[in-house]
Amino acid sequence: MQTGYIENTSGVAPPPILRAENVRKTYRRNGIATEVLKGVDFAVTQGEFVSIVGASGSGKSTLLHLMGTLDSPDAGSIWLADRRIDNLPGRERDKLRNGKFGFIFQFYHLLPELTAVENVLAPELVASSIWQWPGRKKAAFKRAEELLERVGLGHRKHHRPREMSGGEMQRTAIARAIMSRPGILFADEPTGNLDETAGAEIMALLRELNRADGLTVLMVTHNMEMANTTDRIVRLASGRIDPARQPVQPAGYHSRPVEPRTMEYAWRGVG
Amino acid sequence: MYKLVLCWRYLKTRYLALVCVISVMLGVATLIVVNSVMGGFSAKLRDRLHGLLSDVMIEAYDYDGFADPAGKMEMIRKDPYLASQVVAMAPTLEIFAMLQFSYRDMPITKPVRLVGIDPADRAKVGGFAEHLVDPARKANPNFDLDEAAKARVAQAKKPEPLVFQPILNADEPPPPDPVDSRPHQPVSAILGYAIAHFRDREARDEDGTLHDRRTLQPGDEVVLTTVSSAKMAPVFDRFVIADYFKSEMSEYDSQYVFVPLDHLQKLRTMEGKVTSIQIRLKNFDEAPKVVARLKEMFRRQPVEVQTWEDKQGNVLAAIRTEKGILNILLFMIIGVAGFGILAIFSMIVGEKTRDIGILKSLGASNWGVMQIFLGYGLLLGVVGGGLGSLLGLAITTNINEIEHLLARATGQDIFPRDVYYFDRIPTDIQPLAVLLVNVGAVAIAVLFSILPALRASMLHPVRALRFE
Repeated sequence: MQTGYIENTSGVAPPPILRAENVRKTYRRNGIATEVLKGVDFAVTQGEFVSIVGASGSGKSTLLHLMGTLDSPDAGSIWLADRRIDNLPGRERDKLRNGKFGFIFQFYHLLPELTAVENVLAPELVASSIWQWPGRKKAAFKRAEELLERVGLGHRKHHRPREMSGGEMQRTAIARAIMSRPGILFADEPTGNLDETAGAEIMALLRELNRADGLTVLMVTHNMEMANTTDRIVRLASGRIDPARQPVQPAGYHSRPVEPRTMEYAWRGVG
Repeated sequence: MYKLVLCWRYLKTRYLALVCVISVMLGVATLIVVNSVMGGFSAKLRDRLHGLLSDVMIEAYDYDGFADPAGKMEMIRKDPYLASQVVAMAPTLEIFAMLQFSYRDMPITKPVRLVGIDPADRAKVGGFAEHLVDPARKANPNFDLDEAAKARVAQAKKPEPLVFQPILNADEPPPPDPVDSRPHQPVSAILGYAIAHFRDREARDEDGTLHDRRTLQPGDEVVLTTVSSAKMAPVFDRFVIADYFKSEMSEYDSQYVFVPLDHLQKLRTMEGKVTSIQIRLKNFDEAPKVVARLKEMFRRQPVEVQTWEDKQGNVLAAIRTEKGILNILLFMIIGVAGFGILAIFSMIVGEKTRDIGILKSLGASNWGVMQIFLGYGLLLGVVGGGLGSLLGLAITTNINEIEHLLARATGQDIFPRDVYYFDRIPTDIQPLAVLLVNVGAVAIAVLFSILPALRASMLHPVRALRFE
């Protein structure tokens, strides 16, 4: 599978697939305004695995939600390739989240009424109307089962979330996140609720998806050890990304091999 | 597709929703049962009212009646349109009266409505022969006494004849022979069933069935007192009971006494006069035209022409109003179920906040999320309505058995047969009513789901995902 890797030695930075420009966000509660993001400029290049770190309340999850169109910035803009996405109508944003983005959360957020395979199918169920579903059902089930096999849960496909461990639930959530073949994966503390071993397994899985499928991964984490396994670390402090106060980058920063075939995959349907 | 999947899963897994299903089910079942029973009573009442009154009546304004009924009927027969519509006609003479008889040596007096008829003619206009108790008389309605009645008349205690012992002088001639005074032969009468019976609450079968106690047997004698036509002078005569009239309409069964028309005419000195002509039509839909034609024909006569519905307008309107009000009141039961749905759905939306956030993160639209809960409400309404229909129909078809069981268990008459004189609770299941009740139930279920569904759809995905 992993053939034809080429070293990015051109010296030309690949174009950003996703970027935030001077993004600001303020939350108001009980009349008290809390400015969480104070003008953030941030970009992710295609096929990159980026981790955002920072203290609690620094705004890292907020930035992830804004870039994933789960929320809207008060000011600034979010761009997917050359298309501004923060001001899209609701239905367009829904389509982006359904087809182009995948999400993984700290608490897995699986639907408790559905089995593992049905949870993985969920994006396809959302995308299909009642009339479309019979035509898509067979292929969708096949892919969902393949994904569960891929994350090592082929034997658990008919189990409900309450019958699975935290690590299994998170792997199911990852399978669900990539069901619709997204270009970008947003992971909000994906290992935050797991023990060390399960956390390492999840990180290995994310890395594999990034490397093998060329998925762009944007991950929020507290855990520097996990962050160090990614391509790049961005520190957010007090709602800002201060270039002067960024952590030491992981080894291999900006020199990760990129497979041309997966580049096409990463860009599929974007824009 | 996810809406359908989640609606179905929520219905199967959220036992709280069963409360909604049960409340809708009970509401629908109650409405179906009450509507069917009310419909049964209503249909039976209409049937009885119609049956007794015939389709159209030509009536006198007062108890003096109108003359020449035969001439009037001949005019009707000669009119081409009326002749094509009229199936049968029967002149009747109706007047109030007092009925007296003796039961266990106690004199009993009752007010009654005395109706003079020709039984064969009256049977042709309907609502008479089929209500006679004697099966033989149903086919051939008449006032003849059967053998048992004749025997009872013969056995009846006759008053001792007065024996005169004249004191005669030897030289006086003997008194003349008495005039030929053959004993008066009482005329027969058909008595309303409830006049001659009462329902004995003490006489109950093992299965709880009440039995009637008879106060007057066929062959027993009664005295009917009424007034003559011209002078309003009291007139009376003895009558022998030939049969009973049992229409299962308390009002009629406890009041009506039928006697031969010609005899009542003589008794009231109204020879050749009647108070009404009952007319049966081929097709009741033609009644308004027939009435108009008859009104035109008899516009200078002291008569009123109306259909049975006109005559019983108030009763029929009362039934309609009663049914309508009852339906509104009972529909409030489903309204209460609707508030239950609102409360439970609000709880479910609260409980499912995270799921809503997940769905939105997967690209579900606000309208899609709203549709899940509207669909859920629809599904609850459909399932509740369907189960309620089954329950309601099951209760309705077995209502008499259920009533017996309840009466035996509680010792209380739930359906007092002595009031209605029906042997069974009448029911009339109207498919349209069942359909409308179901549509109403589903509409209420959906209507009360709108607010929680709207709330769910408006949830912010991030806040929903962070919901604890």
